[in-house]
Amino acid sequence: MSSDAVSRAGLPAHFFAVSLSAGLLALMTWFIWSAPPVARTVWLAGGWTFGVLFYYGALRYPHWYWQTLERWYHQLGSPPHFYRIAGLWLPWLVIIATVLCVVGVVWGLAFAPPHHEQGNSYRIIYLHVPASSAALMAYVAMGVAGLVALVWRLKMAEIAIKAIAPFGAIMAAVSLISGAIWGRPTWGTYWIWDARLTSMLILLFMYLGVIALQNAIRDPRQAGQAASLLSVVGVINVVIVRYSVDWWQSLHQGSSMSMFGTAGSAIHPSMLAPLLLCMFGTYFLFAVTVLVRARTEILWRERKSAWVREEVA
Amino acid sequence: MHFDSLAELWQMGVHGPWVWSAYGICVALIALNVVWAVHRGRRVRRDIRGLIRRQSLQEKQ
Repeated sequence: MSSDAVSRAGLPAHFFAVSLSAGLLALMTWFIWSAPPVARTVWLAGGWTFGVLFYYGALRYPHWYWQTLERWYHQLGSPPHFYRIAGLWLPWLVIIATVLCVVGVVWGLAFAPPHHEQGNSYRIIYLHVPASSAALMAYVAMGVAGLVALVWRLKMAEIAIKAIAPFGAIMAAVSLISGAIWGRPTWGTYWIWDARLTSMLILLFMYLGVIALQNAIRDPRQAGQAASLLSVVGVINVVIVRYSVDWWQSLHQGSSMSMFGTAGSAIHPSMLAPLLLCMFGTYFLFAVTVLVRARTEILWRERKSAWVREEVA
Repeated sequence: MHFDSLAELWQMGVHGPWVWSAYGICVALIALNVVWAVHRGRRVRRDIRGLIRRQSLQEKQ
């Protein structure tokens, strides 16, 4: 937005930016107004602080903002830069992921109260829900990377897909296995061909398909393009998994957590807190394994270049 | 802690076998995922070092 054009029209230069941000913040306030008071306060305070700081920064230093965005895009899109930055971040991500997962799991297994109907079997939730959510989130990330790889042919996006797929496959398997074991004492069966369970199994096969496709085609660029296409198309299955419990009659319960839901989360804070820790821990674990695999893939693809030879020597 | 002793934590009422088998299998899978990623990284580095060595040998000959 050029400030000249706007001021010539007789409006203050930042009129549109201010109204847009205020509108977004108002929308956010309206969405989360029905959430529990603590969550609402945290979301609102965080949202407004971030919004105001971002807006103030963008007004004061527009060039700096633009240049930073551009620099990030180039650095993350360039394999040597990505390799270096990922190497700097990895130790911290490992520490955060370990702490969150260990605290969350110990809290969930030993300290959270039991469920009034399911007793202690519900403690599998601290494994099942983070794994399922990470498996779905990873596929969406793969779909976004696939789109970038198809449209801009960015090499890093193809590498990202290759790095994400094994993590997603493992998480989908963990979700299915933990769900089956939880199902036996709760529903009386390990498995039924239910919409939620079947679509989750398909998600696992989609991940295996992406991995198989990458291994079947010899040329890495061609393999990357084929895998990108499958990643983008497969995102439709993520939507099906997410809404399967609403669209079809299902033995699987609906979601008990909600960020903006009308009644907030249907799960008590004493059970929700460790669950959130486990979920964030799993997301950090996602970052860790994806960065490790991406670094490996970068080294192999660039093995003829001088910087890789210096790096491994 | 919600449980009075470690034995009770292990038994989890009647649900011990389900909960601990789920955690055992799945934590092993997740650990395998990390070990697999790190191991492949090491192997690729070793392979590239091998490539460099072979190339420098050829150059000498």
